[in-house]
Amino acid sequence: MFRWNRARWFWTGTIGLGALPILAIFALAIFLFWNATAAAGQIGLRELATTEWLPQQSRYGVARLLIGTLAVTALALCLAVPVTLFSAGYLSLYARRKVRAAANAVIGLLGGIPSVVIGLWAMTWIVPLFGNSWISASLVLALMIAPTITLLSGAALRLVPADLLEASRALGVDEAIVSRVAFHHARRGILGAVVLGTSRALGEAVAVSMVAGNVVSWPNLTRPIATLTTTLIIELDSAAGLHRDALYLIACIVLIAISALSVFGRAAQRRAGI
Amino acid sequence: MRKLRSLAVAASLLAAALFASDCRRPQAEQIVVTGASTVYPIVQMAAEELRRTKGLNVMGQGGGSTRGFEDCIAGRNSLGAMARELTPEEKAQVIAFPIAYDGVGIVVHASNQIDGVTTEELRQIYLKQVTNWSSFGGRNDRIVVVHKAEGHALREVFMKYTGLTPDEITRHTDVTAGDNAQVIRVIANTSNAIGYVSLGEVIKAAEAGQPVRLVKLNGIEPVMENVTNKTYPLFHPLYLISKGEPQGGGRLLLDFLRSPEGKAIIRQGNYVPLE
Repeated sequence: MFRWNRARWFWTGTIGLGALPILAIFALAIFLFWNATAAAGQIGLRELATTEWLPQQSRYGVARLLIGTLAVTALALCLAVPVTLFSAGYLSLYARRKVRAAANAVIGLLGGIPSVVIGLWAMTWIVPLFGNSWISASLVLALMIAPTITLLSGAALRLVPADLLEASRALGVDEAIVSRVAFHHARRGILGAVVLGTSRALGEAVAVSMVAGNVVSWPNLTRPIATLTTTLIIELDSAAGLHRDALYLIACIVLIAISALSVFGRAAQRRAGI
Repeated sequence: MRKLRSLAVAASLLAAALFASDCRRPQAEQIVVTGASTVYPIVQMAAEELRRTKGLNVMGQGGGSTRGFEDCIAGRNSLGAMARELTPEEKAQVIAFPIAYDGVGIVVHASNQIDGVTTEELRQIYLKQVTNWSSFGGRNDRIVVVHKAEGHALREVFMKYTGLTPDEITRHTDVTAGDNAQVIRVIANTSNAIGYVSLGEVIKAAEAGQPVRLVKLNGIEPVMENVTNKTYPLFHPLYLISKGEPQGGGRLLLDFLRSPEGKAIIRQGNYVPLE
C-alpha cells in the first residue's frame, strides 16, 4: 500500500506537472495530424499539389501558399541577415560593455513587442509606401526576426577566444580580416541563429496578415501575397467541413516545418557550444 | 517501480482534476447558438435580456454560416445561425426561421470624398477596369480593393449581387480580410481602400470614432430606414435554423426574437427585424 509521505507527494507533483507540457504538445500534434490526415485522404495529394486555392469551389491546392511562405521568408532573411550580422559583429567584437548591454536590452525589447502591435504600426507606416505586398510582408518579418538573429549570433561571436583575435591582429592584418576570422570561428552558432530566426518567420501570422494582402498569387514584389499562416488566420473563423480540415492540414505543414528547423537550429547551436 | 507508481498516481490525479472541472457546469439548461458572426450581436443582446428576465443561459459562438449548419446537423447546438440563403440541399435537412435582414454597406475611408457608386461602377472597381478614385470625382489616388475571405457569407452575397466569379475576385483583389472588424480595420488604416461590411458594424465603428464612412449605392442613402423599406439594394437575410421543430430553450430564444421586445433589440443592433 501507499504511504503518503512528503517525498512521495513531492515526486508525484513534480513528475505529474512536469509531464503536463509534454502531454499538451503531444495532444496538440495528435489533434492536428488526425484532422490533417482526414483532409489529405479526402482531398488527395494530386489536388493538394495544384496552385488553385478556392475552398468554396472545392479546390484545395496549397502549392502557391507554400511558395508564398517561402518567398516572404526568403526575402525577409535577405533583408535581415546582412544588417543583423553587422550589428552582432559590432556589438560582440568592438562595442564597449555598457553599449553592448544597453543595445542588447533594446534589441531584446524589440523581440518582445507583440506582433499585432508591429502589424498596426506597419499598416500606417509600411503599407502606404509599398502597398499590401510581398515586400511589405518581408519588411515586417525582417523586423521581427532581426532581434533573434542579432542576439543569438552575437552570443556565438562572444565565444570566439580573444587570443585568436589578438593573434590575427599580431600578424598585422586589418580589422576586416580579423572579424572574418571571428565569423569563421562562430559560423555554426551563426547558422543556428539564422535557422532559428527562419523558424520564427515561418510561424509568424498576425503581423504578416495585416500587411501582406492575403491574396493567393504568384510572388510579385509589389503585389499582394498569401502565405500558409495568413490563410489560416483569415479563413479559420469561418471555415467548416473539409475547408476546416484543409486548414488543419496547413497548420500541420507549418508545425512540421518549424519543428524541423528548430531541431536543426538548436543542433547547430549546441555544436557551437552555446 | 516506485517512480512508476507515483506516475500512475499523478496521472489519475490529473484525470480526476479534469473531470471535476468538467462536472462543475451550471445546472440551468444552456442554449448554444453557433454559426454566422453577423448574427452573433443579435444573439448576444437577446442573451442578456433573457438572462435578466428569465434566468436563461444563452451562449453564442461564431464560426461562419456553414459551421452553424453542420453543428445543427450534428446536434452540437440548440440553434444554428446563418447569414446567407440556404442551398437546396441544406434546405432539405433543416427548418430555417428568418429573423432579420442586414444591409451590406459599401465602405471607404472617412477622408474619401466620393458620394456614391452604382452597381456597375462597383463591378468596374472590383474588376480593376477603373483603378483611380479621380474617375468618381475623388482625389487622384489608386483604388485598393478589399474582399472578405473564402467561407464568409458576405463574400457570397457580394459575388451574387455584382455577378463576379471567384476567379475574377482572386485576380483583382488587393487585400483579403477575415471578419467584419478586420475589413473595417484595413479600411480605417488605408485612405484609398473600398470594401463591403455589414451595415450595422460600420455604423457602430463610425460612432466609435473609426475613420470609415458609408457611401450611397445606386444613389440610395445607406441608412437603416432605406434597408427597412428595401429601397437599399444590397442586403442579406439572417436565419436561425433547427434540425426539427425547436424545443425548450431554443424555442424560447426564437419566440423572444420574434416578439416585439426581441424586434426592438434587433433594431437596436442596426438590423431589420422581419414584420
